Amino acid sequence: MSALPDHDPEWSLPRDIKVQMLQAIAEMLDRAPTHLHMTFDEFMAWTSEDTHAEWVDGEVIRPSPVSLVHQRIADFLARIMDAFVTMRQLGLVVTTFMMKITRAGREPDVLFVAEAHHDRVKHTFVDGPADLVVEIISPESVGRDRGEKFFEYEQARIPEYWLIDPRTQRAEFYRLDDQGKYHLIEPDDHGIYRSLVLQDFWIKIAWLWQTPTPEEALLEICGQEYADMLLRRMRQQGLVTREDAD
Amino acid sequence: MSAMPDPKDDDRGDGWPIPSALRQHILRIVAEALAHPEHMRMTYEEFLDWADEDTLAEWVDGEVIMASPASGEHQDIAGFLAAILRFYVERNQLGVIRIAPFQMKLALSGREPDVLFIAATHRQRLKKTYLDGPADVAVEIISPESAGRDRGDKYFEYEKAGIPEYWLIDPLSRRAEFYHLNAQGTYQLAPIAPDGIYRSVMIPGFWLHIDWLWKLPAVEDANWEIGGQQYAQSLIERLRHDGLLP
Repeated sequence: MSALPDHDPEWSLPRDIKVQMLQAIAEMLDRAPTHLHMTFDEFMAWTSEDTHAEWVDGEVIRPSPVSLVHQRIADFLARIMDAFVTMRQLGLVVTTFMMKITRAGREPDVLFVAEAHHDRVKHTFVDGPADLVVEIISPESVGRDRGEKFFEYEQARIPEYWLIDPRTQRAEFYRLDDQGKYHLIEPDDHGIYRSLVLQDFWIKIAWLWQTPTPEEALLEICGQEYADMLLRRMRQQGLVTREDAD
Repeated sequence: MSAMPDPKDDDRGDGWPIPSALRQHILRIVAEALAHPEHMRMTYEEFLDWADEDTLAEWVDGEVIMASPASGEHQDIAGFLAAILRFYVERNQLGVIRIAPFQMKLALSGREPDVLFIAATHRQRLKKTYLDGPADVAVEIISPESAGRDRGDKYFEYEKAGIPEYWLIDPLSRRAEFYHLNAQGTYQLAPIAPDGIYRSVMIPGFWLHIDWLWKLPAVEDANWEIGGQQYAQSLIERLRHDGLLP
C-alpha cells in the first residue's frame, strides 16, 4: 500500500478544498444519470414514444440503439408470428411495446398476448405478463437478457421465453413448468423448435440467421392455409380471378 | 477559503495533475465517506490495491461491484462443494481449489466465484492474491441479489474467457445448470442423467447427486460415495499400515 499523501507536503490539500471536493463528488455521484429514480407511473409519463427506456424497481434503464441484425431478426419473427396469429385469431403480436410486470417495465423485442388475456393490453403498455416473449441479445444488453430478465419473466410467469443470440447464432427456448420454473427446450434433430403457447407454430432455427422472406417461412409453417388466405386476399383485390388460380 | 490550484502554476502544463497515489487516496476517502463504492471507477491495479483480503467485491470494466454478505444457505452449499471438491482434487492430485473471496482476473473483469478449480497443468496462472486467467471450473451459487449477474453477465464473461466448465447453482429455485464449453467456444448445457448425477468433465471422475445441493449430506458421507471402491481400499490400506486392523 502506498504511503498516505497527507504526509507528503507536496501533495497535501487544504482541508476546505478536500471538503469541497468530497461534497462535489458526492453530489455528482448522487445525480449520476444512470440512476434516475421514479415510480412506474412517473416513468410512463416521463418516457415518450421515442425514448425506449425500461424501468426496473424504480430505476430507469436506457438501452443503447440496436444493431441492424438485431432489428432484422425482430422484424422477421414479428411478421411471421403476426401473420400466423392473425390467421388463426389467436391474439396480438407487437414489437418493442412496454410490458409491465411486478417490478419492471420492459420492452421485449417481440411479445404475444393471447386473446384470452386481451384485457391486459392498455393504450401504451401491456398491464401484466405477455404469453410469449422474444428477446434478441445485443452486445450492450448481453447480461440483462439472459440474467435479470430471465428471472423477471420467470417470476412474472410468462409461459414461454425465447432468447436469441445472433452473435453466436444460438437460440434458447424456455418453457415454464408446473412449479413456475423455466426449463430449456432443445430444438429437434431437424433444427426445428415448436412453440407450446402458439399451437402449431414452429420455426427453423436456421431462419434466424438467414432470415428468408416472411412469406417463404409462412408457406412452410402453414402451407395450404397461408396460400389459401393469400389467394382470398388477392381475389378480394381483384388481382386474381377464379380461373387464374386453378 | 483558498482557491483551487491555478493550472498555470503547474509546471507540467497539462492542467492540474493528480498523482496516482493521491488519486487512490481520494478514492478511498470517497468510498468511506459515501459507503457506496459501487459507483467508483478505477483500474484493476487500483482495485487490487484498494480491496483487501476481506473485501467482497468484483471489478468489471472499470467499475467496482460490491457483493452483499452471503446467507447461511449460500455458505452451506459453498462450504459443502469446496470440501468435497478439495478432498477429491487433493487425493487425486488434480490441481488446486480456491474459494471466495479469491480474485480471478479475466480480460475485462475481476470476479470472485464461490469455488474455483485450477488444473495442475495451469498452476502457473495462480498468483499469491489472484488467479491470472481463467479457472478450469468456476462455481457460482446464486443469491437473489446476484442472480441476474451470475446467469447473464458472468455466463458470457466466463464463456468468452474460455472457462471450460461453469456450474450455476440456484438454491432458491432448486435449479443447477452445468455448462460445458464446446469446440466452437460456446457454452452448452450439460444434460443431467436420469439417475440425477452430474459428472464433471474437467475434474475427471468427480461426480455428485444434484439432490445433495438441496439436502446437504455430511461431507464425510459424500466423500465416501464419490470415492467409492478406490477410496474404501485406500482407507483399509491406511488402517492396516497403522496397525489398526485386527
